[in-house]
Amino acid sequence: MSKYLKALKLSSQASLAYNWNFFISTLIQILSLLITLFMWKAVFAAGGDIADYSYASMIVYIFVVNTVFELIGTNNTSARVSNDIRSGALGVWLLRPFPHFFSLLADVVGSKLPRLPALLVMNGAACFLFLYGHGAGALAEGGSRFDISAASVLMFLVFVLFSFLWNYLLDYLLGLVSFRADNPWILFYIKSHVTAVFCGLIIPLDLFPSWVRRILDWLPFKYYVYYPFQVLTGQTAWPEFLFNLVCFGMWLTAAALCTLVVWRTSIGRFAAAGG
Amino acid sequence: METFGRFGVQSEEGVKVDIRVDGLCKTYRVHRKNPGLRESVKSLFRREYHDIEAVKDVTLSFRTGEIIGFIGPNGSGKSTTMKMIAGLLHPTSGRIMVGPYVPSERKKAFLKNLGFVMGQKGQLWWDLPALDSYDLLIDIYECDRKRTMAYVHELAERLQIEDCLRQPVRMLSLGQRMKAELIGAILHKPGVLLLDEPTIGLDIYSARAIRNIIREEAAERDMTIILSSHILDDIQELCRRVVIIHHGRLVYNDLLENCYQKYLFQKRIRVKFAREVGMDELLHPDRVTEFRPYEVCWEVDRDQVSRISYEIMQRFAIEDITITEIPLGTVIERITRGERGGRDEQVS
Amino acid sequence: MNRYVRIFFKSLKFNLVNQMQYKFNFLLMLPVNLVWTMEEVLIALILFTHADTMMGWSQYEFVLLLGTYFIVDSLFTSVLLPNLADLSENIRTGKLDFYILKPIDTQFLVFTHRIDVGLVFAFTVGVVVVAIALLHLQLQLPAWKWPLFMLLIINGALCFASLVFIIGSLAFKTVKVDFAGSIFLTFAQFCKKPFDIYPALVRKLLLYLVPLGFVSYVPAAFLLGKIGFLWLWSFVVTPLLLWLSRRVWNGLSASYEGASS
Repeated sequence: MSKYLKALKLSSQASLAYNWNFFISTLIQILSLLITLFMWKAVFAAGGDIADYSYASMIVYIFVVNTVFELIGTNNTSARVSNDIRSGALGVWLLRPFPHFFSLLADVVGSKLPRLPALLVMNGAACFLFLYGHGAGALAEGGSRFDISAASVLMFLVFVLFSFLWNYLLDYLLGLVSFRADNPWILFYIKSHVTAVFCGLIIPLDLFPSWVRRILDWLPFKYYVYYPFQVLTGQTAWPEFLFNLVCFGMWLTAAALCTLVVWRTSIGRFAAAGG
Repeated sequence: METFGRFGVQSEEGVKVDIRVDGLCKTYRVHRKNPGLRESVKSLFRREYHDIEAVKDVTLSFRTGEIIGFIGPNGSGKSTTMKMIAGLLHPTSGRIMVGPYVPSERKKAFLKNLGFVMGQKGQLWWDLPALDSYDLLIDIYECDRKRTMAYVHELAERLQIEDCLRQPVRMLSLGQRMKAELIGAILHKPGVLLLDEPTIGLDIYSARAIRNIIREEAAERDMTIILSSHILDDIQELCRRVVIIHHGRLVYNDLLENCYQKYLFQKRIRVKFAREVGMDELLHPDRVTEFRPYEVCWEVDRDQVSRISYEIMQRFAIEDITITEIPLGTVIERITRGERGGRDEQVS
Repeated sequence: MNRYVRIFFKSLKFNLVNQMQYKFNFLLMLPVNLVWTMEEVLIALILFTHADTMMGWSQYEFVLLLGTYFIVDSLFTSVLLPNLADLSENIRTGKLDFYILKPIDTQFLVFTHRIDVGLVFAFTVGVVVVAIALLHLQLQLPAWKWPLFMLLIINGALCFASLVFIIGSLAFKTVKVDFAGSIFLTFAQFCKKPFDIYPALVRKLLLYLVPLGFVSYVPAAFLLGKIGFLWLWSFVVTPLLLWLSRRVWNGLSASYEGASS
């Protein structure tokens, strides 16, 4: 276990080593957020609510959802796994005493940790400004529609953890496709874009047309960020929470099994690129 | 035909040039980071820099058609010097003239006359056949297409990679790839060729083939060649003159054979005995460099070699005796360390 | 000049051959482009089921803006962005040496080495989206607007290209530039929304400081008659920006020291 902590620490150091990168990637994230906020501000300019969301509650939604999305991002894991396989570097990993899967995981977590405080502060500040700029009532209003308690925060954190693991598993699994198809970056591309749209990142899922929502109900997209938001803001009761947790758990297990199976069957055929 | 004064003569194929390097210096600025997480955070806000003198006051000159070997440990500054001659780096101070050109100005005529082979990197497109890369190079260097392609095929035949040219470069073995890279580097018939570790990692057959081509083409075209290599076979087979750079300074600049003449007047006598020999039984124990029960190695002066070998053969029953030069590597090491061997020492 | 054109087309040919080798990827180029473009259109459509206008832009005016962006994007992303990623890698490995040693402009060689042939698909999709939007809007557009629109689109592409060059030049200063892709994605996000949604200060910034406004907003708004004579500025800003980007490239590329061996 300690070796993973060590890897984590090294990864954090590495991510801090590149000054510019650190500042700029945080900046980029915040700009993205701002654009979404501007867009919603424009939509709400006419006044009134949009399907259960007031301007204030929408802002809070965007804040939470975008921050969580950044949190559960996997730093291009698919591309890294894919590169390791194609370049043959995976061969080196196979000789090491710790599995590739966990090392990469430690690395991803390590590179995220230094960014967490900045992320929270900047995103929070941006959304605060949007609420503040809208008028006196907005701030209070934003809070009033939601029911945040210690329990809900706890449930929220559990879900975010699951969400991260799911994202990592999925990305890792997609990376493993490189065992069969050379350079399947298109898959990664499609996955990230489809996820961004259908997880409710830009538009809350309840605003989607009802037939789309019915399909999405069967898929794990809602668990990425949308459902954690529901949990955090006290919009779910215990039984519902547990049910969704179990469902998500099943998706996770399925993904984990798939990964294991693909890994086992492919590693035999793995031929390192040589001279 | 244009002439460039005493610096070189324009000919049909490539410009033959002299190279002059005067008081060349190169200093790098790097930031230093201390290990640990805390230091990483600190370095986000404030960085410590310090200067590294990679090349210190190097002065050299090469005549047209010379093949010069650059030798030195890793990080000695020889690659940096080569890159400055190629115009890739700007000197911090000092002058370089390659023919009538200043390399760092990167004039078109200068670049067209320059070839560079880098052993650890390649310029050919990875997924396409080498012929396609050559096609593009011909356009870039504005060469006569027909003649250049004929030349390419001729080189490929001599290097025995004619079939490989149509396969994607990624499918070639390292040896084949390096040969293809070599062709790519000289197809525009440069007058100046720089080689940085051209045979690194290659098997002996490929390395030999590459050396042969370099030697042949150099003779054919009077190319001025600078070869930097850790593989001493490269140096010994190709270079008449050798330059040793150590810690950024020029330590030796002379003919290769003079290494032996100037620095070492010694040879090694290696003897395998028929029976175990004790240390106390040996002749000239002060000259012994290696001692094992059945095998001993002496380093003796050249003029003493026959006498001492005779003595040893008289005294002991031997199975085998070999007399060799001190290996070039050891010679270079000693030069670099500033040791001087030979007569003067003997007298004192 | 002739040589440059020849080399560009040869590079294009090689890239085509190269990309066709990866059949899997090549065949998926159109679907991929559809995914990326349709997701934007989808979001637009969903948004407008809940609201009638966004700061004076109706649903299909918004879609027109998107289509315009897709066209402009196809003109430069396919050519410039893959090379930016390669540039960063080449600086790191020292392979940039090979580019510098060639008797031809380094910037040209760097940015034409890889050309994503998918640009044809992207361009077509953009044109189709614009056409559909126009059909829905049922505008009567005077003939003289069309050539100007096309010129403004080319201008927009050159504008964004200059920004790519400037940021690409930063690769010489920082070691890792893999955030460049993210920067452009963010720029793209700015460009895909009507600038009217941004507060006045931001709008001025995005028009005059980092001229993203001229990329897609100005051409689309021009066609729809939403801006006065702002579009004339496009022909002033773009050459200026191109000149600036060249200066920045020349300046920063001089600091390339190559990888140590």
